[in-house]
Amino acid sequence: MNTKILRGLIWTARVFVAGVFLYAAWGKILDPRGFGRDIHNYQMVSDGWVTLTALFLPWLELWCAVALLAVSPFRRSAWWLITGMMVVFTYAKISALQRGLDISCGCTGSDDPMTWMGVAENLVLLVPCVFALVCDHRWPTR
Amino acid sequence: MKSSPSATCFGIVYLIAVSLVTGLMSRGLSSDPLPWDHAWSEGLREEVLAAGFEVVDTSEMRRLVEEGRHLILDARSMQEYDMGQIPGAMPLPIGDFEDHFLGIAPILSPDSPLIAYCSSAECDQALILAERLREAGYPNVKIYLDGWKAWNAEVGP
Repeated sequence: MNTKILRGLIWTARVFVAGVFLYAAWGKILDPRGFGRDIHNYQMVSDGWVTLTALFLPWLELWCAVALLAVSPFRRSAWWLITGMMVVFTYAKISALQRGLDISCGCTGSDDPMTWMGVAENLVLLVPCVFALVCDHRWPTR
Repeated sequence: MKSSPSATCFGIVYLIAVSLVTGLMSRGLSSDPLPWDHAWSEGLREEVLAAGFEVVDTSEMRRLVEEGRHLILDARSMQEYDMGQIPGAMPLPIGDFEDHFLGIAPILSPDSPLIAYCSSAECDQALILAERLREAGYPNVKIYLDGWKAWNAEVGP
């Protein structure tokens, strides 16, 4: 594939994924209590970890998004972290649906209910993550 | 910008550390900080009560439905609503609150007695709906916490 086109696709992936993560992080940062409730509803972590995760995770999303957008030495690290988060989030959603939990997704700080469509959205978002994780290293963009 | 595996690992640790520090700082600067010993497991009932909403059990719910004074609002998805709902309940799915609320708002007044419910005592959609209604200026909301599953099991469709 033409290197110019490839770099364009990587740049688009960076902006798109960073935008999604900035949007998702902001709502959770503004409402850590609500996000904590969403985490607890998944019934996957104990109470003490829920509080720490509710405080920490939105900021990790935010700083990773910033690292993707900036001309940053941490961009590859950010791609690894974002791809890892997407895998964990997707697993959590599938697990909740399989256990029949009727809970809010908590994905973007909104109150959207948990659906298989949400799992599909995660999988779609994983595509640019994995693509950029592989390609942004070989054909770095500014 | 190319980076070696060790630089990538350092970057991962750095981003995690910065996120931890800013998360803790945001808690420290918050006017309503999240308590470390917050009892998430005490369940939704305590959270509903702490939020100032009255909880209705199934026998009380049955009486209120028969009485017919309250407007009953179903916070579940339209798909779940269509599969069965409490008699007289109107759909107000939180995932599509704005659109459905436009249809309901004309029949509401600020002191209208409302009851919100979702699937069961494990779902938080009724609480979220109640909070949204209160924000919209309708504070007189009770929550039927046990929800559709309990109603369907104890009373029937």
